[in-house]
Amino acid sequence: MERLLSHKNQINSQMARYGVKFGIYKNGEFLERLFPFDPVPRKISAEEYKKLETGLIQRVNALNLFLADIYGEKMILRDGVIPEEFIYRSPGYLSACENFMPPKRIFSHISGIDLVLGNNGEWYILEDNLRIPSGASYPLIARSLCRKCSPETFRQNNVIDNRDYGILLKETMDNVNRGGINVIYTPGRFNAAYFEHSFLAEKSGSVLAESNDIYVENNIAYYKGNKGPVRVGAIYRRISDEYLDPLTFKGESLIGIPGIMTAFRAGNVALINAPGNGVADDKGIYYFVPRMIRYYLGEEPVLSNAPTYLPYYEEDMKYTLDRFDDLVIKDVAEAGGYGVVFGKDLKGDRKKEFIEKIKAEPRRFISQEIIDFQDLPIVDGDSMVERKADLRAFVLAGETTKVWPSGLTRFSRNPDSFVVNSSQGGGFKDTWIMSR
Amino acid sequence: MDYVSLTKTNRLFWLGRYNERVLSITRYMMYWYDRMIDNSAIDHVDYCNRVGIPCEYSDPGSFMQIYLFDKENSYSLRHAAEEMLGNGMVLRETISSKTLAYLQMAVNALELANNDSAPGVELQWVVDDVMAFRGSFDDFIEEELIRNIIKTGISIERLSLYLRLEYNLESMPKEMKKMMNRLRKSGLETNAMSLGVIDMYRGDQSENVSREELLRAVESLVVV
Amino acid sequence: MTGLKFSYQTKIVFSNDVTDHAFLLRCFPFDGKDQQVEELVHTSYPIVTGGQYSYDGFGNRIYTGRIDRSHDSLEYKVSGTVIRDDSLKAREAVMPCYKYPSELTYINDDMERFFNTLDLKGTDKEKAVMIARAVTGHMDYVPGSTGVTTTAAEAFIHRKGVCQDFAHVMISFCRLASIPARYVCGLPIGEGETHAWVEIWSKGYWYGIDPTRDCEVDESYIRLCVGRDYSDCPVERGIFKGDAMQRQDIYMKVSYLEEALPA
Repeated sequence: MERLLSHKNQINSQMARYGVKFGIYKNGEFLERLFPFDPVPRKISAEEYKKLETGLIQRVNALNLFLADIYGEKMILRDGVIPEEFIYRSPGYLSACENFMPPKRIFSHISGIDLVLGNNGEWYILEDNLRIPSGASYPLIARSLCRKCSPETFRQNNVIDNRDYGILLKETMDNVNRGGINVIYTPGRFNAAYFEHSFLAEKSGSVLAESNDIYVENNIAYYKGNKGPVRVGAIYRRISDEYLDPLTFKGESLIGIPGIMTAFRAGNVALINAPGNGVADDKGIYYFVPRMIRYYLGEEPVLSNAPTYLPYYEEDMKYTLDRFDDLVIKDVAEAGGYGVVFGKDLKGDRKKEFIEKIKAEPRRFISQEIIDFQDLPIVDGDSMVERKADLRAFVLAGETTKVWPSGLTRFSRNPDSFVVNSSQGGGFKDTWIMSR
Repeated sequence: MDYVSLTKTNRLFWLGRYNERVLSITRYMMYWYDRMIDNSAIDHVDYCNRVGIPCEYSDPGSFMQIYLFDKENSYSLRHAAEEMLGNGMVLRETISSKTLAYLQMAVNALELANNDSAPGVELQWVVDDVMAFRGSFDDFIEEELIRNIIKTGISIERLSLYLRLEYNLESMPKEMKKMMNRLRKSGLETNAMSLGVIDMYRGDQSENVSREELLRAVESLVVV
Repeated sequence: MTGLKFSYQTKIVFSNDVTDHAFLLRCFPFDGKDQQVEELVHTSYPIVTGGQYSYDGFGNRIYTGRIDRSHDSLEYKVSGTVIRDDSLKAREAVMPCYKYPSELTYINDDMERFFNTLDLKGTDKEKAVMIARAVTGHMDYVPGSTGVTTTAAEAFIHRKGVCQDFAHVMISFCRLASIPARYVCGLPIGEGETHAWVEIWSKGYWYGIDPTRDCEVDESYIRLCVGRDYSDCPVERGIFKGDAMQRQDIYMKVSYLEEALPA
C-alpha cells in the first residue's frame, strides 16, 4: 500500500494520459473534469465479499422478478405485499412496457447497487440503480494503471483481477442478443459519462453509436454502416427512457431511435437495461425490496436496507415527526444526491414548511436513520485524512447473475459531507476484493 | 471487422484534418519562436489573412500566446487540438484507448506549454505525440479503409495549409500524389468538379490552375 | 347488434420537403367480441417502407413505418365495416394504472372543491353518469380553445375545451371517486373529426360514457384506441428531418350498414 502511495504522481500522470474524465454541467455550461483518484484502495476481505456477493445476487434476482411481475402478472400487488400506489404514482412506471416480456425475462442486466459500511461492520444497501448506473469504467482503468505504476503492490497482495469487466459485459449482452451486433448507444460527447460509454464500447467489442447511426425498419434495428445496413441484436443504451423513442416517449427527443420500442416489443432487439426499470429503483420502492426477496425467493435478505420509514404508513409518519432531527429525509422523485435533507439542518419556518409538505404528500418521502458509516483514509497532500465513502457494486444478470469482483468506491472530499456523488465533486478509489 | 457509419466517417476525416492542423501549425510556430530570438517576428496580420481567421491581436507576441494556447479562442491551435481530441474520443473503440492517449498527451503538452515562457520543449512533445498517434493508429486499425479516411484528412489539411501559407510549395506534387492515393483507398465520396481541377493541375495544364482555384478544389474535394 | 361502415382518413401536409420520416399510427378499430372488425382496408401514400402492425402496452393495434425519401405529405386511410354488439361485452381485468392520475389528468384544488360538492350516489356507473353530467354543466364546448397538451386542470379552470378536455376532466373525477377510468379515441356515427370519450370499469366490465354529449356510449360508437389520457394514444405520431411546419386534415365518416346498402 505504501508503494502505491509513493507512486501517486506517476498514477496521476497516467490518469491524465488516458483522460479519465467525467462531465458536469455548471451554470448551463458543460465542463469536463478529471475524476480525482485516490491511490489507497478500499479492501474487502474474501469472507466479507462472499456475503456481499450472495446478498447482491439475491437482491438483483428479486428485483428482476419484481419487474417481470409488475409488467406481467402483478401478483405482488394482488397479494397486497406492496401498495399499488407505489407503482402507479411512480414516474418510473411506464405503461408502454405493459404486456410484454423482454428476452429471458431480464429487465436489469446491469445493476449498480450502492452500499455503505457501518461502523458496526455491517454493510447497508443505500440505493438500487437499475436504469443506467455508471462508474464501472473508472476502477477498471485505475486498476490497469496502478498495476503498471506499482507492480510489486499487486505481486504482494492477493487482489482478484477486475479487468474482465468488458468480457462480462459482452457475455451479458450476448445472452439476450436477438441476432446482430452489440451496440452501445450514447447521447453523445457532452454527456457526463461519455468517457465510460466509449471505454466500455472498446472493452466489450461493441460498436459505439449515437443518434442517426441506428434506424428501425420492419421492426428491426439497423446500424447504418458504410457497406450497408447491419442488423443490431442488442443495444446497451446509455440514454434515459424518456428520450429513448420519440414515437413512444418524449416526442421532441432528437437523441432517440424512432420506433425502437416497437422493435423491442416485437422481440427483435434487446434493450439493456429494459425500459421501465425506474419503477423498481426509486426511493419509495426501496423500502419494499426486503419484502420482495421474501415474496419471490422465500429467503431472508442477506444484506440489510438502511433503517427506513415510510410516512405513508401512519406509524412511520409519527416516528418521522417525533424523531425529525435524527433522520435524513429523501424525496423519492429526486436522484444524484438531490432532494436529500437532514432533519437537524432545518430550523423554524423552513422546518414547518417541510413537515407540511410531508403531511400533504406522504408518499413522496422516505425517512432514514443516519447511518454511522465508516470513514476511509484519503491522501490529502502529504497527510492522510478520513472521509465518508460508499461503494457501488456492479451486478450483471446474464445466463447467471454475477457480481463484478470490484466496484466504484466514491468518497466525499468535503470533511462534513455525507454526499459522495461524483456530480457533487467527490473522488474515487479502486475497490480490491481479496482472493484470500 | 469494424462498422463505420456516416457520422463515424465524418469524424475520422476530421480527426485527420485537425491532427495535421496541430502538427503543421506547431512546427510552423516553432520556427517563428526560433526567429524571435533574433528579433524577427511573424507577420501575424498576413498569417491571419492567409488562413482566413479574424485578426484581433495587438502584436506578434500576443498573437503567438493567444493563437497557440488560448482555449477560449475558437481559431487557436489549442482549440484545434481540443477538436482533434474530441473527434478521437468519439472514435475510441475504432482507434483504441492506447492510440487515443497520444491525442490526450498532445493536449496535455499544450496545456503545459501555455504556462511556460519558453514553450519550445513542450511544443516538441506535441509533435512527438502527434507522430506517435499516427504510428499507433496505423498499427492498430485493421481496416485499410478506415486508416485511409484519417490519412486523407491529414493530406487534405496539409495541402490546404501549404497553399494558404505558400510554403513547402516544392513538395506539392508529392503531397498531391500521396493524397490522391489515400483518397482512392478511403471510399470517401468526392466532388467531381474539384476532382477535375486537381486532375488539370496534376496533368499538363498545371499552369492554368491558380493557387486560389486549387485551394478551393482541395477544400471541397471530399464530400462529408 | 349494429353493423357500421366507417372510413377515416388523414392528410398531413408539410410546408417544406421532409426526409427520414418515421411514424406510428393508432387508427384501427379494436377487434373483439363487442366490436368485431368484418372488413378492414388500410392504405398510405407515399409508399411506406418496412411497415409493421403490432400492439402497444394498452393493447392498441399500431402500425409503424418509415418514408426516407423526400416528400411533402403523408396520407393514410382506413376503412371497413364493424359489427357492434354490447350484449357480447367480455369480462376484462383492469390495468391498475387506470385508477391513478396520469400526466394530463392530475387534479388541482379547484377540482377537488368542485368534486366535494357532488353528491355521488348509487353504482359506479351511476356515479360516472353523474360526473359526466356535472362536467357537461361546468364546461362549454369551444373548438380551438385548448391544445393537445392541455391538462384536465387547465381546461377545468377555463371552463371550456373540446371532447378531449371533457374526457380528461371526467377521468380525473372518476379516478378521484375510486372508479377506474380510461380515455377512448374513436369514431361515432356521423362525419367530421375523430371523437374522444371515457370508459369506466366496474365489476369486470368497461362502460362507455360520452361527457361531451352527456350520454352513454351505445353501439353507434367505434373504439380505435385507449389509454390513461390523450398522451398515451395519439392517433398519429411522427418524427422527420427537415424544417417544416405541418397541417393536418382529418375526415371520418361512420354510417349504419343497412343505410349504406342500396335500397
